Amino acid sequence: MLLSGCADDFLNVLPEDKITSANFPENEADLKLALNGAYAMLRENSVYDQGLFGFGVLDGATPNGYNWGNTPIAKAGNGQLSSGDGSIVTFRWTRCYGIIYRANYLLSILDQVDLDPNAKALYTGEAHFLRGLAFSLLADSYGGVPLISGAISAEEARNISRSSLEDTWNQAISDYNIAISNLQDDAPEVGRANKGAVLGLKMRAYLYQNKYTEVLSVIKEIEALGKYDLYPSYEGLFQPENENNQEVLFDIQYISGENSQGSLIDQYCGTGTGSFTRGTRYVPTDDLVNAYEMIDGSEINPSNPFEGRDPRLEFTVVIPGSYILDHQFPNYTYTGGAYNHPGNRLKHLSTRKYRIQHMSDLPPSGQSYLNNIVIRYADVLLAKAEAIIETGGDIDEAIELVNRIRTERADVKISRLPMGMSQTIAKEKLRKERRIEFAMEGLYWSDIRRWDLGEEIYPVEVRDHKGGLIETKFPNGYLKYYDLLPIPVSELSLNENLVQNPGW
Amino acid sequence: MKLYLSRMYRVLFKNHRLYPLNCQALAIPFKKLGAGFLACLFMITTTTKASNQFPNLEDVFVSIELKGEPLLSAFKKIEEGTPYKFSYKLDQIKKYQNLTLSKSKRTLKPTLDLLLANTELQYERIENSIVITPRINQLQKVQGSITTANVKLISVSGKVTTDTDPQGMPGVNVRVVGTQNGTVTDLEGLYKIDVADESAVLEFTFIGYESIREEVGTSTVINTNLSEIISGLDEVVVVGYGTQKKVNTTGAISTVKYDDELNNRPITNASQALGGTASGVWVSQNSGKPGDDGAQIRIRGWGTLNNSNPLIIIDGVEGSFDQINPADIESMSVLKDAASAAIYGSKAANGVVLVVTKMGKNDQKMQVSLNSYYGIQSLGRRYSLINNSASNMDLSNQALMNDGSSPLFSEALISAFRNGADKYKYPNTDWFQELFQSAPIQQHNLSITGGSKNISSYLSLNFLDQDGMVAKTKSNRYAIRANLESKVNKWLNVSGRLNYLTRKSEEPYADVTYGSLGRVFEMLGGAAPYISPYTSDGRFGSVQAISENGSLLYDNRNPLIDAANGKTLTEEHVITINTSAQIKFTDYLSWKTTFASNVNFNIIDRYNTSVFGYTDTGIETTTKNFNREGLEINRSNLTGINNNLFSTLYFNKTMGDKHSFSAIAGVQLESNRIRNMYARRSQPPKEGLTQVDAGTSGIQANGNLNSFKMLSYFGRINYSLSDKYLFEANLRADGSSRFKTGNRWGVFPGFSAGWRIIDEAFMADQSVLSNLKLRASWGKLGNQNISNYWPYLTVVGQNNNLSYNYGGSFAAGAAVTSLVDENITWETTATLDFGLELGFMDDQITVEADYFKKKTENIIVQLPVPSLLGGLTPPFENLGEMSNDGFEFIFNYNNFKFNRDQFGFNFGLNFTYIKNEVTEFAGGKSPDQLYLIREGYAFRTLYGYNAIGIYQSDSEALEHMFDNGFKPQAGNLKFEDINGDGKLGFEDKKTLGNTIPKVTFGISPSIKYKGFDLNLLFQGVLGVSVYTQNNFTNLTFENRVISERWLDAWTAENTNTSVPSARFDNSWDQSQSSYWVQKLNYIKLKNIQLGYALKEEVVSKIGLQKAYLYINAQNVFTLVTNDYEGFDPERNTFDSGYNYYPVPRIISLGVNLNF
Repeated sequence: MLLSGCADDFLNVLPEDKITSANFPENEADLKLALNGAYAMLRENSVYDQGLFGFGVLDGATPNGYNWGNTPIAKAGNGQLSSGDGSIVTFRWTRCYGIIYRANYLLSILDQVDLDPNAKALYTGEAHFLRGLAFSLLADSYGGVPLISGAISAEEARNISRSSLEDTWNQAISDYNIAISNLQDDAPEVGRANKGAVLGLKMRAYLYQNKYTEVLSVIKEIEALGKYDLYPSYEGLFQPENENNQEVLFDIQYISGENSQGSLIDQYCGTGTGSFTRGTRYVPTDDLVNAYEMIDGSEINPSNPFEGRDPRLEFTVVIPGSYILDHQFPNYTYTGGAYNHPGNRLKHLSTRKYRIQHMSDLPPSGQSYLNNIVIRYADVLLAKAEAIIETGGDIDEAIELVNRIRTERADVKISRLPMGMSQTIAKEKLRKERRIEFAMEGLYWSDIRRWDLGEEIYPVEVRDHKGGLIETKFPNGYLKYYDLLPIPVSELSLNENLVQNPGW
Repeated sequence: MKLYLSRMYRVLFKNHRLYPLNCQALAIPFKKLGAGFLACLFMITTTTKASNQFPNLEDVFVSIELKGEPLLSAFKKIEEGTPYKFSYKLDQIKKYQNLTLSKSKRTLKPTLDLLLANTELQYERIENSIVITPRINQLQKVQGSITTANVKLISVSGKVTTDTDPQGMPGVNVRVVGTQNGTVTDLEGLYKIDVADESAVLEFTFIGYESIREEVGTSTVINTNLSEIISGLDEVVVVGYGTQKKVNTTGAISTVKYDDELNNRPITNASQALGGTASGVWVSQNSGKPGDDGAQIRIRGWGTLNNSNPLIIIDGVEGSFDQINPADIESMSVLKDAASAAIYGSKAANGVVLVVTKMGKNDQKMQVSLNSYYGIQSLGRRYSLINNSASNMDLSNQALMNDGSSPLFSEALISAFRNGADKYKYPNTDWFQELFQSAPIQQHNLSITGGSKNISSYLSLNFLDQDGMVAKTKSNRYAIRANLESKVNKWLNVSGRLNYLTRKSEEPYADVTYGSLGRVFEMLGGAAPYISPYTSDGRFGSVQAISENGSLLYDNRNPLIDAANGKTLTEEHVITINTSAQIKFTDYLSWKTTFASNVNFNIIDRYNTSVFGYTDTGIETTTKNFNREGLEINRSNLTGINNNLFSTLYFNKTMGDKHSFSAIAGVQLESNRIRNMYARRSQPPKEGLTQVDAGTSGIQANGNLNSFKMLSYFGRINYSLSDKYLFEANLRADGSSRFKTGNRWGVFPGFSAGWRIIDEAFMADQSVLSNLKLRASWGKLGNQNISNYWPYLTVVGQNNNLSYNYGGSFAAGAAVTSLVDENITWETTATLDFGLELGFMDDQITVEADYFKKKTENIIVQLPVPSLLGGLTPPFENLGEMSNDGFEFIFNYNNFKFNRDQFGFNFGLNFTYIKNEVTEFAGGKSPDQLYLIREGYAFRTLYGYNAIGIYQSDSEALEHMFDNGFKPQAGNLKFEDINGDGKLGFEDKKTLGNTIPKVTFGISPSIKYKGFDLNLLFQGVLGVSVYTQNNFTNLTFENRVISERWLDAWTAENTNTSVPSARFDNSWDQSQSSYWVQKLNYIKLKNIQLGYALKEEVVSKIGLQKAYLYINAQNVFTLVTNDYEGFDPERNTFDSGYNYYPVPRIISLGVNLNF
């Protein structure tokens, strides 16, 4: 064609508002963009808990919480989950692989720009940290999954098989190890992974595999950093002014403002006031409330049930008559009161942890700025105690660690556990302490499964304030196959080599 | 005086002029038939005209006898025995009922003289016609008695010509408007007539030609030129880059004439005019939203997995139906097969609709026409919901108890509602009635058409004002069009078409999540009857189901609150400029260049306000997630500029008397730029401020640019041999900026052939058929209609979602979020078409049938990719294949008479059957989904479990689903366990019905009699299924609207039912299954119109040429499959029939005046 040159000139139209692979990456700043883009996935729904839709919602899949409206999380806790569900089933899978993809992409472009060795170590370390984190979540949720450590084609993705559970955990551990060797004690910016963050998640990876000896050795490394301790206030731990304190090993960072960098927790999981119908997507149950001890270890007084209780109860749950957003709760008539969402039948309790407490601080929807803590030092202490107990170590040493949690903070001082208990009793005390300490933080779901507690604790009835039955969780008893989530059906249908978890 | 001849007569006349020899041959066996007789007459007509030898009245002998018989029968007897035909007005001759004539053989002249001797009638022979008129002197007498005694008559004379008879057209009626005074032109086309004064208007009429009126004024010589009405065999069809005679077309083309009938329908968008009127074209108006009711148009089904919208070409340039005033449309052609559409290449795979706007004609008197209607819209069919609060509460309690939960509503409360008379305290709200109100619609269209010797023009003004059925929704449209064509000289012709259209639409504030009106409909889906619309003091109401402790037992879902929230104001401006110049080099070669620009400005302003609902006890509530972002003001702005330049050479030559060639060759450049802007601020200091500046925080802005270019070369060759064997070839090469260099160009060929069997010699002896033509075509077309402008480029996204924060500071991020196949290129559709055209009874009956086989290859699809690839958006790849095979059938019976007193009857039927199949898609490995896309199935086949009944006992359920995790119970749906493994899994899913209609049809009967006309249009669908589970039909605790179907829910006592037991949010019963699938066969009276055309005599007295009054009703009546639950069945079959603006029923009154 005579005019083909001219024609091509005429037809060459390129976007003027987008970066394309043709000019990316060009320098270190581009790598930083890619790194931030990988971290961004951490905020997404269902990576950690419900992420930007609320931290702690996952407790709705346990006796701790009631997640009304028949969401996948509620179904995971009552036996109605299906492999076609979104949320914890499909989104967690997809987004974990999203993190893996972005981490692999970052690793693959590192050599395309001139880079200072220290900077390269940072990017390498953080990419591996994020990838290890994703594989850990996948292993905990689905068991063994396909391992992807570089670019793969769509065709390969349609034929890849699942690796074993052990190999999946090993992949996570090996990623963490690379991260540890590349990262410093302190990150260049608050919120990016440092050595402590990686060690914390590596500890958790071993804990979830019941590899207690390894747990103890990782904890030694954490202690050696000398950076972490309990924060003196349990209440303060979850307040914006105390973010990134000494107890936090790693958290997900949110800010307010117009860039949509906040979470929706106060929108979806809040308690409403005045004219705003806020979601109350998940609420604590009486089952959880009843699990809190009295400060002095005495029996709960049924006629005055909220008096003299473990202070963590009030810091975690909006109990009847207390205040939230400057309004008393519960107040069934809206005028001047705080209330639960009308669609929710459990109206006498609400969640306080991770919520903005005062009306004046309440951000617009999607701008909740409180960071969500992925792992904090209390977890290290309790993991250590658990490991000691489980490995047949010094029970008193372990109980002493539990007592630190019970007495060390200025605002949590309850009766010390006695010394000299049996391993069985110690194990029970430890588990109870973990449930209370981390209530409505989304950890209990994993704990129930790794401790094999399901058959013991279910069915659980959820009742309203008048005793009316709202729901029974696992009415016919726990279904053992719920220990692992189903592989999303959308994924199975594309790959014949993916085998569904048993029972689904 | 006027000749009144039937259409049939006219057609024959034309037929004969074209084929004198054939007609002569035909005439003999037809001899006994009236039609044949006439045909024969006309054979004589033409030959005589050519040789100037008509039998003289003195040379024709007749022998008739009358014994007290009417004059009419005398005429009939003469007609039987001679080649002459009488022309008369019945009311002028019917008073002569008792004539007597002795039997004798006379020539015609004395016979006629005798017959008319004692009447007030005279006769005149024009060729073969004997025209009967009142005697002139008689007329003058009448005039004289009315006016003054001594009238000075003005004598006017002149010549009437037509394009085919430039020397003069004989037999044209010339009449003084408003009088009985008239004459006819002689063989030279000359006439002479006396008129009373200068204000007299002469009307020139001839059958088959458009009539013309001329004011006498001071001139005594009035020459005029009549133009032929295009119809029948001479009908011209608009095709790509030109026109063709319908008889010569070789492709499958449907045409829709934008005639009076369409003009009078309360059509708000031109796309609606296609519905039910053209075969192979399926139009479904899926929304009744004012200003946004554009219909979904499918030509021969869904051709691709992508956008299946046809290409709309307005005056040669790509456009859209919402950019045009429907009244400006002259005609629409739908190019259905690939060969006809091939000249539009890469955009034409889904068919092409060619729209031509009106234009005046040269030497045509200015004609002003006004069409106005006023109508009322109301909600038609709707869901049947339980509007009785007590029943709703009872059922809700039952549903809770069926799940082992405690009841929610106390007996005291329920009985208070059952017995309460206070409608504010104990409402039983029918929300359809509260939300949907009758709303007016009116449209006024004024147009001026006409032309002088060298300039012709069409001007129009349009105003449409439509209020929506939902409060605070409305839209209005103003449109101006100026079309002008100028014959500069013998070789240059220039034209310009200018269109400006503006539309302003209003609706409530549209929230980001729910979008346009979505919130209102979302609330409607949860609007329980125990919510009061208003309080007794006129504020918005709230939930009146209140427990003893004062808490509300439901959240407020009063849709009126959302309908009253703020405003979304959409303002659209469309400017279309279309200019062209045509140079005629020789008789057979011309060159035309067109430049067209389509500029689109779209501004959407939105703001919200605080609106509360109140219980009768004064509790203030809002609806769910109401104004969740707080108060905000935003504006979005789109500017789209589309420029088109194309240049075409036309060649047209007949060689000898057998070979006729025509060809075109052209080049086209197209460029599109679309710019978007968005600005927003929140928290205005005061409510009701509407401009972004008023916000105090929450500043956001977006802006982007999408651009797209195309370069194309195209050509067509037509060859016909002896006018019987027709051949056509089309070719277009398109280059698109959407694809990378190397994949850019696509070449799209089309070939077709036709055989006019009727003109073969061996057909001469048959008497049944008047038309017989076979057509065949094959062609290949492209499609690139995908949402992405740069599908081949890997884009590294950077936006807020991809960004993170460190230590309280924003940290911009980037990531690749979609996969890309760099080699993406066109998808192609090849269509094979065989067509048969038949005409009977001189084309009074026409039949057209087409078989087609359409195969789309390399469909650009986003094949689901495993999330293992990172959850990235799948790449656009050329992967899928789909086939659409089917046939179309059109039947038309046309018996319209030109005489208003005669009974006329028309009947049209069109019918399309299509079988769709996805023939290649992901090697069969496509995800299970409700709207299945899988090899071997029709596109979007419903797919799910097969409900085969209801478990009558828990043990039956346990036995059946013995290995299932969840244990269904008595009252749950029983799903077929296809693989018999005792649990419900993906293996138990099957197809539940197709969502693409197998058969679509339209039926359009109409009758005319004495000025009245009645037009009906039925439209229907057979063989389609829809999925029905939505907030109206299912039971969810969050949306407590309950359909009446649940009154028959399964209970231990009510076991003989198909409705499962009532349970809220029951995942088992809410599984996607056949229980939620309904067959949807319907026939709908889409439109009915009764009109009356005032008598000309009456009309002309008030200075009008035409006055027509009509009453029209749209979407009136539907026969639909039993148990169909929902709004009007004309709806999108790809959704559950929920959350959309239902199509209104419209009853309108209108008037159509011509000045």
